[in-house]
Amino acid sequence: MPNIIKLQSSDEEIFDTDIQIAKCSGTIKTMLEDCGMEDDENAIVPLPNVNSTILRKVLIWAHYHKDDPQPTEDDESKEKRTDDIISWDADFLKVDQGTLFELILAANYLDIKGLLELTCKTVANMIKGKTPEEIRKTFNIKKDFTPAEEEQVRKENEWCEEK
Amino acid sequence: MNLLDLPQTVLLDIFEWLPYDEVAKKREVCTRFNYVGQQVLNTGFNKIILEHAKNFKRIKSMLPRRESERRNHVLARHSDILTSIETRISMLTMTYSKFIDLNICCFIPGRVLDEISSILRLLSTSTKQLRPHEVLQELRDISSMAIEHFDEKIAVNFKLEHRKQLAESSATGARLVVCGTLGDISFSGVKRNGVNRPGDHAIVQQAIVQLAAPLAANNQHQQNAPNKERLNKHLHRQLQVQRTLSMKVRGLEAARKAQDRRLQEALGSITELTTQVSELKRQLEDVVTNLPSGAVKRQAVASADCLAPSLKKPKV
Repeated sequence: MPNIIKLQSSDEEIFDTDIQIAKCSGTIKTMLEDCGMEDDENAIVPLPNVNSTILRKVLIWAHYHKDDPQPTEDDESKEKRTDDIISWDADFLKVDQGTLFELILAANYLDIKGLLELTCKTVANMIKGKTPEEIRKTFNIKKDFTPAEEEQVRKENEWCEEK
Repeated sequence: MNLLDLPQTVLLDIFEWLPYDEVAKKREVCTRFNYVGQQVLNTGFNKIILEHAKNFKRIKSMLPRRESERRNHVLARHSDILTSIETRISMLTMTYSKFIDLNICCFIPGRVLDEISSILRLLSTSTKQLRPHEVLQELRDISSMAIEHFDEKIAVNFKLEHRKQLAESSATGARLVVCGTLGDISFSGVKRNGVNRPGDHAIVQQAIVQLAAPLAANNQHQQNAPNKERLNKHLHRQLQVQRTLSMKVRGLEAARKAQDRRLQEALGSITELTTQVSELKRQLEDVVTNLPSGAVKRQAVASADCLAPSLKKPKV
């Protein structure tokens, strides 16, 4: 029988969720197991750090990826590949920057490794290959260096400049 | 919501997905990017050291124990390459670590980290014989470029700042770790400020105490002339004391500098010797393999197991 739990977003919307899908979140999984809420049909899990728009998106992602294998731990030596994002995920993340960052925060808070990895890779791809000026433009960042600091960083990086 | 509103850990997670070379270049965006980039580069350097050690251990465990057999093993070149990388890492450690420990700069050349990790990846995925020279060419070039640039253009400007911090850290009795990978050579700094200040203080106090007596006598309008004389004598003596003390301080400082220099030299020669040792080993093995087969055979017949040690001992 499908086991359902209720997740409550910060704006107090209730989401009836399959327990297996909810458990892709490490935070929810520990909460359920440590508090013995698994058998309680009417238990409500409050998620005060996630609003309903973001939680809805997170659950859509979790539903699509519910059969993914568990990510392995030893990833120290693996290559930093960011070009292996599947097209469903890429479409899923065609959102504005604000939503993307909130998804990162939610994935971080809910401890969903796959989603955190995916969203971080996406931002990394937005940073990759751009000049500092382009990055400032893309993310609306102000250059807050003192002239001396900027000169120092620039000088430190000079060693490998193509002549 | 802005990218910079994300917490530190998340920014680190994002930067982890960039090649270290990109991380280094993106430090120029803003102070936050600079800070996060420095953290990522420093931890990246530590990770590479661990990763290299892990690989080296794995390869060593797969090689035969006897040197003569090891020479012709398929993975012999792997081991050679890892030894060379070890030397490179030592050189990088010597260049950057003390400044990183003092928080003056970070591990600047991200591209070197990328190159080392790509070589390590190659070593762990391929079992065919590699050509050390070809594999290591790029790493040799860029790490030397980075070290030269750092020594000539960057470190000179740190010297002043470094001195100051060194004095501070030694005044608090902190130990300065000079080079982590070379067996934790560390020394307690000279308590320069500690020597200086109490000394000055003592002189002043002494002067006040000793001046107080004659002055008190002065107030009583008794024997003005001898008092003045005594005062002069006191001052004269104090001046001499101060001179000798400051000379001693200067002497100590010079000694400290000389020690610093000697330590640096010692570290330099340690790496040099390490490279020489591995070079000599290689030559020795070549000699062993190139020995006239007759001689080897005769000895081999006499005692096969003693072959390697008996050839090695006289040389070592």
